Amino acid sequence: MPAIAADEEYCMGCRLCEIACMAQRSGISDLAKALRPGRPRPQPGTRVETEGVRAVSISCRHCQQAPCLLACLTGAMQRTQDGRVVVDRDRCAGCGTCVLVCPYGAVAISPERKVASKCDLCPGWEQPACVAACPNRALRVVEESP
Amino acid sequence: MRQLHHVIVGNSAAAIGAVEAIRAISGSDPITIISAEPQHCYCRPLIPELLCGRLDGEGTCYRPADFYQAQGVRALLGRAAVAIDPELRGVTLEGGDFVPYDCLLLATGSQPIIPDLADQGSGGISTLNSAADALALGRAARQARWAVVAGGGLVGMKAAEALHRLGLQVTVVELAPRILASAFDLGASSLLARQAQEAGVRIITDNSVVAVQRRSHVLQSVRLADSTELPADLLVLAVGVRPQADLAAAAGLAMDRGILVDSRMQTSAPAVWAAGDVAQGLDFLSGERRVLPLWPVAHAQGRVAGTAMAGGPGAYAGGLSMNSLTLFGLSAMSVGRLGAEAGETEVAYAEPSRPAYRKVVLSGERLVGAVAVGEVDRFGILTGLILEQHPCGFLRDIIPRQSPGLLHLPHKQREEKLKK
Repeated sequence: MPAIAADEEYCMGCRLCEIACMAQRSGISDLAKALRPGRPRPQPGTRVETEGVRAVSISCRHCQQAPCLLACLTGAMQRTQDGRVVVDRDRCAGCGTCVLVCPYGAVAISPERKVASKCDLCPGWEQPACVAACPNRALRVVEESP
Repeated sequence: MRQLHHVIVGNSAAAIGAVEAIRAISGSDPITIISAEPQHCYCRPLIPELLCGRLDGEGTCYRPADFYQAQGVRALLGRAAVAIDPELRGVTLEGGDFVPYDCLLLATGSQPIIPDLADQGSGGISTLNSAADALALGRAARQARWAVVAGGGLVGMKAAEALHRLGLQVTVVELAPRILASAFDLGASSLLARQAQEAGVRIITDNSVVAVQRRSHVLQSVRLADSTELPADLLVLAVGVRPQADLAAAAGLAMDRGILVDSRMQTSAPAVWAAGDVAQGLDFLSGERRVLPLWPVAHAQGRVAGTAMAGGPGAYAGGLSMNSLTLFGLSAMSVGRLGAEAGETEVAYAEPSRPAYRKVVLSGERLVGAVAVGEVDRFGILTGLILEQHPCGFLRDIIPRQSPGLLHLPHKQREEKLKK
């Protein structure tokens, strides 16, 4: 199962990965339109952590033994046929148990919908939006998830 | 290979975890689930949402409607098991039917503790432990004005929130000096108490409900230990739970507070396993055996038991106490120890201007506990650090400044995590 790996040596903290993810999730291909002020912004599935000059973009690793999936109270966290870990938002109660157990801090409760939100690896796209948008190849797709 | 008939008494997190683990090894072994409750497996921690109508029966389902069929499970729902016989290897059901097994899993959960109120009447008093409880309480609440919740633990506070949503005047009565004492530390529980109080819930601590008054059988009020009288149309009993281990005790299985199990969730009887709230299994931090009535722990134990029953490898690493609670919009999480014990240290920080709080408990350099309120976004990183047992001294500097992130981990550790 592929996953996204992050190289902090190459990360400039530009947050284009977050923006590309939000735009992708908004379903509008034009970046400027997707992020127009006033339009609700989707929760990005990746998050850039910064500390001084260092930065790194962190998203779901689609773990083989995924703690979020095992701990989920409702069964909303599921593994797809192709091995991705995804949230069925209709079944998510927003209880936060996935947030409580994810060792990467890669699941968030979306403020507007109050359900779990995370990277879904952009199914149907050639590569995930964050990876495609990264100008310095700090994000790459690896074949084996941890 | 000979097929094994797996019989599971119970139909909650541990039972479902076991079914999934058995099926990961054997697609054909027959599996029977026996449950006194008639419902499809549902998520018990969400029943307060069922009470106030925010979720319906479908919304609390733990697995899709075709789960039993898809997994090849014979589900005997609404059938209570009344005895197990480890010699004959069978379970007797109410009505006398006998279900033989090759492997038996006891996943019977916990039952609410009922305080003695010397009450001869019925009506107006309820626990909140099952979907049936929640639905009945919800119906009663729609004709009630005053509710008293005995017990300010997780169940009690979620019950209070649900009843408040339905428009009732709610008072929580807690025996301890503070609410949520077993799930959160003082810093967190004070913020949560204030949040509930500001929403309009009355909280009385250091007190307990000792009696009820009825007028022509109808509940009128409750009396507290200090003789205070509180008007009450409804009394919710949420003073705690204990393992529902009657079947095991009657069959002579080794027990302490719950059914004692080894690292593969096997009980003292051959071919009998136990998992979930009824079991007393390994505690990750203390290395001792402890009852941990928590949904994720039950699921994990069920998986270990199911794997063992189907002949697979693997042992239980031990359960970790953990809680995630959102009360009147304020989120809080805790994991592991809530406070420093002898020889341990804790570092805490509270935002002065808003309800945000974080704390870690360190044993030497090892992280053994954490609590957060308000900002809980990346809390799982701390849970991971407890389980990974890497040195975590760096948290001493981070906690006073901000919520810890992966960038605060030592470089090598972080690379391990993110580059692969």
